[in-house]
Amino acid sequence: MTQARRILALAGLALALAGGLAWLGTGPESKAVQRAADDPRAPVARDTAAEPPESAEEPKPRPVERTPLGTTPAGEPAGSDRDTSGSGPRAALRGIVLDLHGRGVGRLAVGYADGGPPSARTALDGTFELEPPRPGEIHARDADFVTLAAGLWPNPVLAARVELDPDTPDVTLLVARRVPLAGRVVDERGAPLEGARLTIAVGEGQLADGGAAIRLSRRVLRATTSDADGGFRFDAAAGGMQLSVRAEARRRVELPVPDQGDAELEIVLRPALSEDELAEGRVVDGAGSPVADARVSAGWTAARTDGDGRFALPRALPPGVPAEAGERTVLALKEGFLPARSAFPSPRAGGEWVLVLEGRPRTLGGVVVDGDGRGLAGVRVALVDPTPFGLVETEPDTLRPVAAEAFLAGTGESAVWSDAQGRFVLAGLLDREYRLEALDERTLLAARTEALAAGSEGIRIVLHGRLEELAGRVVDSQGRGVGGVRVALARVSDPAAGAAFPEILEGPSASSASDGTFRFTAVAREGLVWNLHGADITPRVLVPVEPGNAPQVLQVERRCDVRLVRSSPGEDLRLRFVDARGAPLPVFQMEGGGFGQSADFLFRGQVTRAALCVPETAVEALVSTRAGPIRREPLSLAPGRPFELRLD
Amino acid sequence: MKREPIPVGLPSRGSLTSLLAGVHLLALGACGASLAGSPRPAQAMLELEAPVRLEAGALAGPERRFEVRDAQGDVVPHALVMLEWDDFGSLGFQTDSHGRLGIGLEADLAAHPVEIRVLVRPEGQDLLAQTFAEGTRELAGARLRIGARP
Repeated sequence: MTQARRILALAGLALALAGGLAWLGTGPESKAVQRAADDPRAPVARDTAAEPPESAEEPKPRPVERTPLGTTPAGEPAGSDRDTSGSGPRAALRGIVLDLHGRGVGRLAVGYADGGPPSARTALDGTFELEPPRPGEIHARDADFVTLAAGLWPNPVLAARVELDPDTPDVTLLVARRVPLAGRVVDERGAPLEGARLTIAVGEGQLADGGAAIRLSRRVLRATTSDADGGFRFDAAAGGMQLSVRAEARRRVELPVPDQGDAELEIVLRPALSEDELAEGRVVDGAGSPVADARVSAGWTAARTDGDGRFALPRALPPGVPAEAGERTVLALKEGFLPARSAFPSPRAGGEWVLVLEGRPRTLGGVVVDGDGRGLAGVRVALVDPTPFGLVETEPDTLRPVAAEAFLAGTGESAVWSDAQGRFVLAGLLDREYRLEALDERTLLAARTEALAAGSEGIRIVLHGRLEELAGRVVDSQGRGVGGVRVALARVSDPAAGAAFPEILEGPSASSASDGTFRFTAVAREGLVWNLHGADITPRVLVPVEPGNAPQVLQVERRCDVRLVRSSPGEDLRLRFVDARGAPLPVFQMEGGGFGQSADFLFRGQVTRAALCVPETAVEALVSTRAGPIRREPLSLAPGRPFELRLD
Repeated sequence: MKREPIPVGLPSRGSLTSLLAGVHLLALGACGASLAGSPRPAQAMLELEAPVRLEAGALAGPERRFEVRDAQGDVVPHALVMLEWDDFGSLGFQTDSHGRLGIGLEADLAAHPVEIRVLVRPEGQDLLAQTFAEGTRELAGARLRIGARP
């Protein structure tokens, strides 16, 4: 991920909160945590978050009382003409370092996370200047302090035209005193748990307490994994950070880091389900030997067998799951074997539940050729109808939906790419029939086969079809051309039982010219969609490619910023937006790195400012409270000019 | 377009059980609004218990439709769906009054593992008398349905 992209993503929390979503984390749940003072400290794993070089300079920093910078209330910044986007040259970057109480921290070394120049030392009120500034992430560089929220420059939120009060610093850092944090993760019997995932980060509430500006910073999250003895250690912890501990099949534990730290913290992770709630079984091979590390799934999260081939699956379907979705066919997978199938045993079933892995996975092999019989290299050949399996843990505590074939092939994909001669081999297949699709990603030309029995060789897929020019224009609701829109041709994968979601297989892309025009040469067109994104339009994806030779006309809606403002906290207000005909319009919560789209938006009572985007065609906001509608607010929207909607 | 292969055959940690309660995959038959002349995406849906951590690429592709329900299966209006990356910060989006929300992620973000949490504010709280921290909480046992854009 590029630095620019990374920074975009980091803005998310900031805008989420600025958008009136001033929500905070849960209170700690620390019942499962016990101290074991007499336990020796075991060898420990170290946290992985990079810390900037530490400064040994004196004197030590100290927090001082300060007048809060930035007069904006929690929720949204105010207007300014100052260029804080980082787009123009700057002589110096103004920043401030705050502690968890919102006080400036003086005499603290600060600098870039990569250790390079420039660096600075904070004044008594926590302010500092970096001269000359350069793009990057800014941390405190002091052995006694931990950076909880890092400064970002250039700031993507500001680059997205959110303006700040003129007094607001360019970057705001949140720091706290470093404390020791180490210990062990154990099960309910005190046995060490290896591979538990531990993270620490400042809670969102603490970020908010730092003031409006701190939300423009990056919350630093540090992670580690418990070692074979259950040991762990964080080198950069601070009191009040939130510690989260998770492991497979265990209840998650969250607790605050003690103010003074703890070098011998014992964390007990209890089973997520009791024995009565689990169906236990065993996976063996054809010779009756246990198969370790096999995956077993009834359609949702896969269990993994231990060294004796044992596993357990939850008996109950989660609430809200339709019974028909809970067909309890169980699959067991292990590389090198065909899957074992079994019905889910009833609670009254006697005897041991055993799944037997026998036989080797099948393959399908062949060649992709063009209309003249020449082999085509780099063509994606995929299963159209892979076999659903479930969610597989791919790294500690991380799940991925996966098809059985993708797992057995060991690639995570139910697809391969043809070699220089156009040859392909799909591995990891079950003993059944499959349909294949060949797709040239350069042109999006595709072809499909009939059902083929697994094990077939010499399959010949002919990829031919007319490649043509596709040209068109991106226009707004008034028919005016819209430039700068990224126009991509894409193919959406077919309904595939094995895929959690359809994939968008994106082909060539272009940016629309200032008059909205675009052009592709030598591409397929059948069954394709347009995928459109732009900074000034509402997100629009999967617009069908129109048949015929007429230029494509892709209508988009320009995006308008709406600022919700009130002078003081009040009631929750629900807002909906409608066009001139009274038709409801979506509300967009635009973030760096993504967007949210909803039918309405709750302007929470405790916030006084929020930012939204709506289509240009919105003419009214319908405002209601819990008691019902209270008024209609006319809108006067124009792209590029935020509209302030006062809701006092 | 190629994805990183998933590691398989991870060493066992000796755990008898190897599951996360309540995370499952649904394959629903019906399609929603059609896209005339275009392929009709699958209506497969993930249902999982938040908080949950999803592998890189699990949310890649077209916009996802989220629906938030509580542990009893009731819709949770105006919840906050938080997506959190280890190294890339967080995104937070509010659901509508029906507990629904569309989320689109840029490819670079979708290419990294993400943790999903749901935050709510209990009904009827007097927010003027409370801080944000007191007024909101993580929704324990939240049911999070994630589907593809129809």
